[in-house]
Amino acid sequence: MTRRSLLAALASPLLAQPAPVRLTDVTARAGLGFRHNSGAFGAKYLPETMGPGCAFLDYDQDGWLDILLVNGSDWPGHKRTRSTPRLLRNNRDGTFRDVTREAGLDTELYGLGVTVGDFDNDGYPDLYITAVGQNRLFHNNGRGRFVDVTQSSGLGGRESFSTSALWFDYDRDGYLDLFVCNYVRWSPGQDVRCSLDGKLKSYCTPEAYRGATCWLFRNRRDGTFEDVTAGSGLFDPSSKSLGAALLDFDQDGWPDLFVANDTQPNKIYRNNRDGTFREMAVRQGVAFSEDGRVRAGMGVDAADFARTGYPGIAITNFDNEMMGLYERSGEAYTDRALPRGVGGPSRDRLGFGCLFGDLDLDGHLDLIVLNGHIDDTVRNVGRRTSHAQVPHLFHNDGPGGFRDIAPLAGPDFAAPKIGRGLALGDFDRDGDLDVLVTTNGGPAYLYRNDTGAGHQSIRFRLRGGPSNRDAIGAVLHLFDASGRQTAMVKSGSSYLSASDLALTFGLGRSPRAQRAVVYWPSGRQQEARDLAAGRSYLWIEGKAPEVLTSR
Amino acid sequence: MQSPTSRLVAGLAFTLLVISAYAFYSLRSVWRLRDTQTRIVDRNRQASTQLLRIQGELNTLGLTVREMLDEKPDYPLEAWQAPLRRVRENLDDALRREAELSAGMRAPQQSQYLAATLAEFWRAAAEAMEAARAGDRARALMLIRNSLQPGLASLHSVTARWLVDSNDEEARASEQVRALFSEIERNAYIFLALSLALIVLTSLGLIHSNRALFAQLGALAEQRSDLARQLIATQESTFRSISRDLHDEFGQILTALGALLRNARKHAPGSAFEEKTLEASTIVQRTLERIRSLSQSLQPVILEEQGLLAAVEWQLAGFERHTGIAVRYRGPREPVEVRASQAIHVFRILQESLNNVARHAQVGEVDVMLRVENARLILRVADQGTGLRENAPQGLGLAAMRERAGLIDGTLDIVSKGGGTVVTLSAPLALEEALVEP
Repeated sequence: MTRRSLLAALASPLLAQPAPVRLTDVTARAGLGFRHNSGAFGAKYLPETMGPGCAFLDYDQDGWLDILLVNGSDWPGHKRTRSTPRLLRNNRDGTFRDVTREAGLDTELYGLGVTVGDFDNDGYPDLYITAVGQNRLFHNNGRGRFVDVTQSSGLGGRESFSTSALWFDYDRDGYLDLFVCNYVRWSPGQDVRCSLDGKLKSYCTPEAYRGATCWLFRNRRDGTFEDVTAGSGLFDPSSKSLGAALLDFDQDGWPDLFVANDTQPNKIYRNNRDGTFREMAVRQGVAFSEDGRVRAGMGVDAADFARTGYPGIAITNFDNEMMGLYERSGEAYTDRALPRGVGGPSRDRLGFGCLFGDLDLDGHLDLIVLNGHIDDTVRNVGRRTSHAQVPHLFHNDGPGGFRDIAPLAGPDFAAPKIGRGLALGDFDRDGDLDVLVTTNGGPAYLYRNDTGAGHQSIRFRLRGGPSNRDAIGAVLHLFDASGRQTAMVKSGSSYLSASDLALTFGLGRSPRAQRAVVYWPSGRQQEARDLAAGRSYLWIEGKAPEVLTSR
Repeated sequence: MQSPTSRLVAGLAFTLLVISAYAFYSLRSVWRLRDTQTRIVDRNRQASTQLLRIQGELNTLGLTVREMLDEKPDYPLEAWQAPLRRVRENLDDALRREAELSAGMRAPQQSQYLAATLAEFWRAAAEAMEAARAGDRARALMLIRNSLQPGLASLHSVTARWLVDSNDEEARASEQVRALFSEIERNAYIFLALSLALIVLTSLGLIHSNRALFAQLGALAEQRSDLARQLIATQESTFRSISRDLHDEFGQILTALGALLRNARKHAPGSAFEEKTLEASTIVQRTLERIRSLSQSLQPVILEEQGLLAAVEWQLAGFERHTGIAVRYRGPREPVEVRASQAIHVFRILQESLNNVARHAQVGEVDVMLRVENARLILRVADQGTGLRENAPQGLGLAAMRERAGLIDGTLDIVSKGGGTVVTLSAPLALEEALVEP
């Protein structure tokens, strides 16, 4: 028996099952036409291999999700082309139009990540783009244009190597504050020579550089921000942070933070409800792998994938390290990646973007993971890994754990790529979640979710007031025949990317949900009953949820 | 004769016991190894991991302290309070876990020295933070340079020493595990050899006792065969003598009686006496015929005089006549000469088979075949009757048939199903003495 036929024989029971999720590559049809410029010219500067991120956002509030693709740029002295971030407006027919210039985003910067949030509660999402050098805050003026307010908002004058960022209202004053991850202290002049194969220069792992503290900026409610990093207890120059996720692990209604660090212990910051945080990663069991080693944390997401009511945590790591899949047991977290079926398949991949999302709308959160090595010379070292790698699509089988069905989700999705950014959102408004992917030095991909399992979803777009208008930090419990599902409105998660803030719940074949309960960041609790499936609801704080005429 | 079952069962039980004992011993050894490995190696590995973690935290602390001395800091000195507290918590956690894992492996003075050095370090750090908060940056920096940095150096040297010790301990543990492996391997071989020896001895004992048993059985079978042979011989000679007596004595008497009656009849012709004598004469004649027939069937003269084939044909004709069961007979194509000593047994087997057909088969016809095939004489009697009842006690007739078959070195197969019975005799052909003994 040849190896191929043996593999085919082994795979046949898997192939025999109908694919629960089907993702169709609609990149060309949608007209994304994007290629990431890492600026690489041969010197192999560390930031070149890190980006870019992407976002689903409805910047013009027309009810259709638009796309933002972050871009790098050429290095000073090696200028070849002009490259900027790209904003693509949804034409509502499956295609997008490039509106970068008219939206005022035609700005060159070495961008890495993006986070989307309405920091001034004016009803239009604003952008914070992280970069090597100066990060930028773009205010959405509501007339289709973004204005760079970095300096006037007090966020200017900072050179950094920032990665993921997220908006959240840590002090629950109704205005979004900003958390920014910084990776290492790096500049072209300090770039270190590393080699994977002992001959050619390769991109370094961060051990070669000193860490950099993450930042917390408090929203002063007047369009300006105050750096409260030191006073809040988040100051930590040893961290080399790449991913951040919002969660409420102690379920006290105050937003906590998880930070994935590369070759440094991960951090989990408990909100002390007084403007300060307490780091508890070691005590919570999430700082290290189960055998006590630091791993190369990249992307992260937190969600109640086991339907226990508590958020679990998924973290992508380097190859040979496996992903972390932390579940709450008692007072702390335990890494259950191996028994849950995530550890084995992820062992020989290097993961970046990762998100929980109920792609087949069966009521169980699946886990989608982008992979791709940091350096092309990895093929010379004979490890079972390559530069471009196949993504994972872990289908949540319920109590049975996760099963990687990426090869069954369609040939487009399963093609190897140097994956980085990952965002979820329903750009075609058919009720399920579509997938936006960026690759390092390559195209961005848009995958339309064509899963035809006959399952229905129910979607909530929450609007706060007195809570922050985006309702980031609100927790919604949805009860249907199958039990309770829990989700939090959160920005951040994944890697360098921002997903749509709406909450999409899969209901399987249930025609309706009996009950939905929202815990708003303001402390208010609201309940709605008898909600039909297949609908999108706008739930304004203090009012009853109303059906949106469109999704 | 003692039944062999108990001995076989005892042998099997003993073998199983030996195998179980071996399996138990192997399992116990594996458990012991696993426990030892978990206890010693895993504990050492975990302790080393914790030591590496402690070193990592001390490195972080070193970097932190160096950065606190930065000339142009982004954040004020007091901002380092949080990182310092975090390192302290992590360090304490790692030290506590390491202490649990390395319990008893280290002199208490070593742990006390580290605890004292650490306490002094944190006291100085708190003092430096206090000074920074009070705005006395110069004093804070002085404390960092003069207390924290030297304290860190001693902490580093202590943990480095511990790591070396832990490494030695790991090497010792590996050696211990290796020794345990060797011991278990040696014991396993000894145990295996012992088990094999015991199993071989048990098997030899069983083979020996079984051979004795089979020898006994063989002797018994021989005795039984002799007995049967004698019985049959006696029977045949008895038959022969009765037959001769019937033929010679009673035959003569009855012949004489018939002649007398014939004479007496002549003296009173046409009288009632003549009629009575004629009647008596007929009875005498019939009796004579019966006696001759009986004599023939006890010792068929035809067998001696005309051979087996003629005797068979005579017997079949008689059977048809007496029972009314039609016989379909197929004889050999060529005439066959069979030694008389063999012929009598073949004939008797045929007689007994036909008897069985007449008595049990409830059929209207029977197939008989006699032929020579590969120098073997084959006799087959087949009926389409009810067949032999299963589990029915085998009569003396069948046993005698088998014995007779045995006496002529032949085999007797009796196949009986619902659709009839087939008796097949196959015996090496013994030619007439005259032909084999020139």
